[in-house]
Amino acid sequence: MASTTSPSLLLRIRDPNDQDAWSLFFDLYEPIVRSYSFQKRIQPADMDDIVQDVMSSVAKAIRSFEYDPKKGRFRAWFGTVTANRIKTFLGKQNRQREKTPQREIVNSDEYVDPDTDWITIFSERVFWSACNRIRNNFNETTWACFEATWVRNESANEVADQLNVPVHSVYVNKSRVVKRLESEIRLLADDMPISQGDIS
Amino acid sequence: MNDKIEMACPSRNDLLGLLDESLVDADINRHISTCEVCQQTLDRLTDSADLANYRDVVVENNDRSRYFDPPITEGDLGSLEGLAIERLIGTGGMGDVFLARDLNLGRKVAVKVLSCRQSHESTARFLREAKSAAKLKHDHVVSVHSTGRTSDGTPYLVMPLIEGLSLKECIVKGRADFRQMTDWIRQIALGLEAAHSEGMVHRDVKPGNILLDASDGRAKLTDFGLARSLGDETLTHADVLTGTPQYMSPEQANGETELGPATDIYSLGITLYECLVGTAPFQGQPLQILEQHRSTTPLRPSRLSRQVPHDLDTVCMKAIAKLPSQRYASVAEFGNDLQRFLEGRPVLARESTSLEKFLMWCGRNRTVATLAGTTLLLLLTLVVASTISAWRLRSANAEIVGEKEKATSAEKLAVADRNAAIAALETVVDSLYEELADNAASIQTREQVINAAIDGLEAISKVDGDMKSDRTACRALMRIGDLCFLKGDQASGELNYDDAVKIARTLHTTHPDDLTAKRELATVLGRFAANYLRIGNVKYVPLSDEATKLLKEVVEKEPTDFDALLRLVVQHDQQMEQIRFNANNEPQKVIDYGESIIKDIKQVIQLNSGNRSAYETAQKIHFNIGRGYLESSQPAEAAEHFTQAKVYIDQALIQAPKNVKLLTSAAIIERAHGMALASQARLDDAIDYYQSALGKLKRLAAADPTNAMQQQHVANTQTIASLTYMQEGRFDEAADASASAVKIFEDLLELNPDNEMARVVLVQTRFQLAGILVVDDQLDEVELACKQIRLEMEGKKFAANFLPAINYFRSGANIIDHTAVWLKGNRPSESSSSDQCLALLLSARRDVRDSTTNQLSAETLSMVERMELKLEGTNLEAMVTLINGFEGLHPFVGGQVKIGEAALYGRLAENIQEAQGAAGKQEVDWLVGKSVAAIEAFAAQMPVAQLKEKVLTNYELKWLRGTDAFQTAWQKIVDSE
Repeated sequence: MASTTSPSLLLRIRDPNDQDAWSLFFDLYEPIVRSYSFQKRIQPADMDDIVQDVMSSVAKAIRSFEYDPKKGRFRAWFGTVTANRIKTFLGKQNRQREKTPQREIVNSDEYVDPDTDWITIFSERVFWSACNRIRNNFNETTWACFEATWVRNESANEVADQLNVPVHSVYVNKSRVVKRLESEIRLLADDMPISQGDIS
Repeated sequence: MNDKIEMACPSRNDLLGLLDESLVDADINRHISTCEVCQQTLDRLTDSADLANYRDVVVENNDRSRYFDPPITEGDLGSLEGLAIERLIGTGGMGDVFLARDLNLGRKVAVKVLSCRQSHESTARFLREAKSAAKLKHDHVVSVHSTGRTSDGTPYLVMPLIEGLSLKECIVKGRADFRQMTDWIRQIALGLEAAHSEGMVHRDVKPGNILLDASDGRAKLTDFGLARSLGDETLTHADVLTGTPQYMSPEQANGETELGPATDIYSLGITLYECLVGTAPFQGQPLQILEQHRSTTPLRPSRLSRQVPHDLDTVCMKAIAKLPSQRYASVAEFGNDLQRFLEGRPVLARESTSLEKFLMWCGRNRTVATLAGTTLLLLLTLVVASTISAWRLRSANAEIVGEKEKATSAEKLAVADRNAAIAALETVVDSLYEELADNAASIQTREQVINAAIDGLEAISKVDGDMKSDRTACRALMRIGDLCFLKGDQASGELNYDDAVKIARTLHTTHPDDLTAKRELATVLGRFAANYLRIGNVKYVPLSDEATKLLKEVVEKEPTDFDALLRLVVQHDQQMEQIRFNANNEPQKVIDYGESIIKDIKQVIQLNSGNRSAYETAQKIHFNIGRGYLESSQPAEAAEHFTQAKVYIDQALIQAPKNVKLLTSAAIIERAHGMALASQARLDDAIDYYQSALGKLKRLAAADPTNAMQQQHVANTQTIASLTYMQEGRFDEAADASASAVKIFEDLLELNPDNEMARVVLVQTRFQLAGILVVDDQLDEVELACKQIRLEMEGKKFAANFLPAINYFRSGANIIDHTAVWLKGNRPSESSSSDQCLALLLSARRDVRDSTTNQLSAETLSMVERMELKLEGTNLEAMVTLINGFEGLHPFVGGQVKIGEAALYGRLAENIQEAQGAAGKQEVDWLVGKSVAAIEAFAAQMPVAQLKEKVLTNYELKWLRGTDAFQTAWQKIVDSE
């Protein structure tokens, strides 16, 4: 799997004809907007509108290079777009104000996550999607090493003992999965530093 | 291991090479298996900092931080009796969990050590609770092996080591589909059930406390009884802030101390919610969450996740109802419903529509379906086909009987299946009965169908045998009772209802505060009463009164209990029908009762603006009030209620736009509205209403040509319209309408000679037709019409309540007949003062029709002579004197005398004015004066309301009504009221 050389999802969707990228993008990010809207108490009747609104403006913005990776993480930019939309919607609802035209969707020098709710929802979704996508590339033992040491923080010795593998293999296995997971997350969300060789 | 060589630690680059698999060195590999320094380096190298950010978010909201900084370490614990502590494996609100080896049994165990800083009292309680939890052995509960205290007195528990994820982790990772998770919740319900039956309440059910044992695939509930022991008996601010309020029940949130099993049901329900949606329903600050538990109903899971089926949704919502009484009565019921869902059976949490239940039930249970199912299915097909003709029913019935014989071998039915079957049967029988009730031609078939349904019900209600305390049995008995009453078997009907009342009463007595039981008893009593009412048995009174009383109690406690209110309104409707039946000539009673219950109708509609039954009952009550007003000659008020009835029936029609019964009622309301308008002398408007109603009824009748009732509605409308045409002086149209009504009734009677009602109305219509013909001078046809009236009644028996009308028509027909003979210049074989009077009146009318003098014609004078009466002069006044002198007139004629007098003078005045204009003013004024005087005299004899109807709707007085003299006099009469 030469995944490190694949262009990231956010790059791919600049091509309107890349259907696979589009459907992956929607599958991955739509639920994030949905569950964030839910936490912000958007009524289900309005939810579809908001989600559609956010997703289409995000897609448009990405295509027109409005999202600038130099200004910060995609997570923060995406979160700001979503939070702004929800704010606009709730404001309109409260004050019945006319919608002000919003040409530029995020106008700041540095992108900042709207709140910790957003970080949690975004991270959970991206992380577990990435896990699910790569899970089948590894055998049981490899994955078990990763899960025990990285997720549950069990010692390599203990894990080696339980799984009946040499200690160094535990580390190699863990390292493989971690690297793969990093590159998958980078692929999905542009959310890993590009320098990849030294991970310490 | 023996030839282990001490070597120096490899370089960082070597280790990196090892990790990216570019360096393979057996020595290095061997070295790192024992070198802690290298291991720590490798730990750091492989623990990607960027990925760790994700981990911190994903893995139990920072709980993992405590892995790195545990409050208690293995060393602190020292050695526990018979246990070798290995390392910390988890931490939670209760304390820390260590992996340990049981030195005696050699197995791995989990040791949960209570967090420090607990009071002596609470540690004692912790151990006490833990000991009782230790007694609980269940597949779905993590058992407690033993308890003890560490050297510093901290209590701990020894439990089996469960390897696997917690449900919380599983939800977050999205590893299982909702069915799998639902099944785990079901398993936990089993565990809780066992605990509840031991009197133990968990009080802290949440996904984090549910472990999924990888070794046997079972879901297991842990931390039993610990919350209770640790949670101080009162809930403090601080407790809330430190605890997880997301799964607390409203009663916990309220700080209640006596928490029962219902609390666990709620928390397990919230856990299910989280499984279905991915997040718990309430988020935010702890105190906000508590408030939401108390007051906010969460969105249904299906609104947030489309894959959640409706049934599961409903189960979940029932478990997390705010009031414990609205939740499942036990966690076992909750679990059973989940089981039912998983097996594709209808859940009990909601009343799915009967038809839905029925179909699900038939689909699942083929063998049982043959017992009652095929019976039902056949009935159902018939109902769906909706146009039921007698022959079709008859052949269907033969099939039903055949199927039933084949199917007696079917065996067991669960209670819920019985419920479903009975509900389905109820629906089917109800709609079938409605269809059949309207169809006079299928009385025998109806009985056969009813018998089949009774057999089916008995079969269903007997399976399982437990008839005593069973609501299902109660319903079955009630329905059997209904059917018995319907087919006229009063004795069996009473027996079944007595049993049903007994069950409902027992349930109510044993649960005096349970509103459902109260409502149920009221329902049984109300329906029992309705059956008595239908057969006119006064036994209904105490039943109906008690039902009303119970319902009022329910509504008083629960003013928004829609079911009870609806039932109460239905009860009102029943009461009103009865008052109408008893009141006869006292429509005021109906009005008074009706007006007193309007607020209940409004309330019931307001509570559930989508309920069709509510609208149906509401329109019926307004219709009856309107009818009361119409009968007591208050047409304006009547019209108001008909308008309201129309509003309600339109609402009902929105939901069932093709329902024949509703469409028919709508047309009949329109017709009644027309009658109210006619009584207000708005004859043209009235005719518009009749025409519209007639159009609708004709369409309905055309769609179902064998339905006698629909035909009858058309004919009745024609009869009513005919009367108004006559009042307008539109004789041709009046005669046409009557004639077509007559034709319809004749056809109906040919098909079913026993339709007494149709015969009575036929006679009435013929009588009306004869009256029209005689006034319209079609004397030859009058004779024929009267002959037919007599024929119609010859040798026929009529029910007592029809007799007054029949006698009226009989003697009225004679009078009209004789009048025609007199008018033709002959002398009838026998004569009465009534027909003489009527003949003179009509003859005089003929005289003034074209005349501008008040002289009588030779024909009229010779008629007087033939009657051997004495006339004081030859002019109109002499005739009026003569007519006024008649005594003992038939009511049909009596009502016409004074009006006739007014009409005669009025008509003459009209003619003179037309012929002479202003020149004849003096004479016209005089005649108008006489006419008005006649009306005034008439007014002294009857209530203004009736007078209005007669004076204002008589076409012969039309001109007179336009004169000033009339207007002034009329105003006085009206004002004197």
